[in-house]
Amino acid sequence: MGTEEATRLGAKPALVRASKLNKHYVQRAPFSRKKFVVNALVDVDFEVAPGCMTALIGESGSGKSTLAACLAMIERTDAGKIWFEGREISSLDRAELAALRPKIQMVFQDSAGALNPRFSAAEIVAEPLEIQRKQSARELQAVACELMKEVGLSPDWAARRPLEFSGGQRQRLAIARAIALKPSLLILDESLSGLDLSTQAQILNLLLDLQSEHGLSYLLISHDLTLVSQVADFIAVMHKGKIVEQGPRADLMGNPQHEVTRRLLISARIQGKHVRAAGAGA
Amino acid sequence: MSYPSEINPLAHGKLLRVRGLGVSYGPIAALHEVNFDVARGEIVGILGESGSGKSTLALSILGLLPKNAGVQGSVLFRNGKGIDEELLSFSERQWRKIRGARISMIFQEAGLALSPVMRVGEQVAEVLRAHGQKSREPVVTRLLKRVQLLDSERVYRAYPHQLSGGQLHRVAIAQALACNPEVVIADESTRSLDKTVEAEILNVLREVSREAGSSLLFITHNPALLEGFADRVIVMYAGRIVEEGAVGQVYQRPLHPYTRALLQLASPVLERSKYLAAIPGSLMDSMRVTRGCVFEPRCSARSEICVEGAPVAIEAEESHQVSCFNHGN
Repeated sequence: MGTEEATRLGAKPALVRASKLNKHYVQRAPFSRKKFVVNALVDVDFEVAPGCMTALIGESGSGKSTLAACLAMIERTDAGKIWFEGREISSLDRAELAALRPKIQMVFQDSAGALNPRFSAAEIVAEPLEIQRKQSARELQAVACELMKEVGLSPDWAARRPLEFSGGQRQRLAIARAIALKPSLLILDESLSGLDLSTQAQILNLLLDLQSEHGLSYLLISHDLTLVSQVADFIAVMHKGKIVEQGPRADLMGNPQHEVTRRLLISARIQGKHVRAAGAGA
Repeated sequence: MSYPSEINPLAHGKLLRVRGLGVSYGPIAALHEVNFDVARGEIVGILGESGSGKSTLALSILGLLPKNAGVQGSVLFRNGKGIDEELLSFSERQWRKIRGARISMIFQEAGLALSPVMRVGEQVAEVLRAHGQKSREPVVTRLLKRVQLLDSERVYRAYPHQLSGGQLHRVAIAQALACNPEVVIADESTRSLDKTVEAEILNVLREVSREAGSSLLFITHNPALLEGFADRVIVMYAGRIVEEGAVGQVYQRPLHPYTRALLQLASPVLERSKYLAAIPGSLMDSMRVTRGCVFEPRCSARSEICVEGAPVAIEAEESHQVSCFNHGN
């Protein structure tokens, strides 16, 4: 399987390619004037293969979210280049970037905080289309219902506000909004972390369905290796602003090279050593 | 360490006895007919997904339920003289003596539970002072050392923002155990931590509560955390206890279809799969059940009898209870 995945990677050009990305933040120490530098990205080379799920894992503070924000061009890097669908995007100006935005969409961790509580479900889902001024109001309503159906939400709930939904349903709503503009890349930044195990599995299944339907590519950011190991095609491991290891899932899981990867694998395996035996027997 | 790996609840006095506990908010029942015991020094895991009622359970044992909650049943807590007291009839004044001193709680976000404008050491001292105990710096540093905070003198003087998530968590544990309480409740307290830090915190929590002889109620949605950590597990679904028993016993032979499904979800499948196993439907489906078993709409082992009435808890094997008509099938 490892070689099969590897050839798939080699055959098609990468959807996103990043080379030598660097990014630092200057932070002021609280209650003092001392300043210190946080190196969030250090010489990061990274690729997202088309039509695949690429997982980016690492402990908190390792730079995962900064990398995601830079790839989505929400934040600017200090140095380095980014290509998207073969075109360099790191030097685009504001207007050119605006045209690019629909292609790269993000889903965040805290769906309750990311969705406007005063909007109805349909308004939330249709808002990106409205901003892009692609349809009339009546068309928008129909498209919103269509999108809700696609992520497994009943169109009868179109008038409900976000807080009337459960956490898993809100995350579905956030995904519906993200796919409204038919992006080629969906970045999920810890989008599953706050959810129950069963809900996590349901959402991952939804992502897999959407992938086979629309040929979407995913960048899934997580600190939970147990979760991503079940669905990812490629895995990259970040530690202290650097990518310490990346490759096809089977290679990385079967033969981890870096100490951080091994540590993450061990903690994933130890947790639930016996649970596995019980699960298998059931 | 020389702690017994599994404490026999019968050999110790029952510290806490919950009988027929029901909590409702208007028409919605958050807890329904909950019965269980906690023995002295025992670690009990309460396992369930969001909405299963596990946090409501914690709040009712701490007397922190909102005023609009309708409460039934009884929660008996054994006092120093060996007499059971009814916690549900306590006044706010009586509660204040118990909370933090005899029953304490570790909340989900340790960073939010601490005041940002007060030194961490003083916040631990505050707990001791509130219950009339010695609270000078050496006492507090000793407490901080007990939760394995290296450099405890520096931590004493630090403000919360100067500490890492793991360190804050240890401070919260030090606060909760400051007065050597008989019961400590941890509500999903490690949810936001990294796997590696989480494992360290669990070790500290287990060690200090064993040392203090405190009973620990550990609430979580992840079955994997209880393995090798808790003595007993209580599985909750839609406000009801569906299964209860020793962790080893329940994990080896889960009897309730819900427990089985949960354990399967938590088992690390390190293989790539086309689809992930998930429990179909959601808790919303169970909210509509009026007569039958609440898990019936999502159950893989359902039969006709399940829609007729609700199952009651039966002892399937020694100290292993389950509420299911088709248990084990």
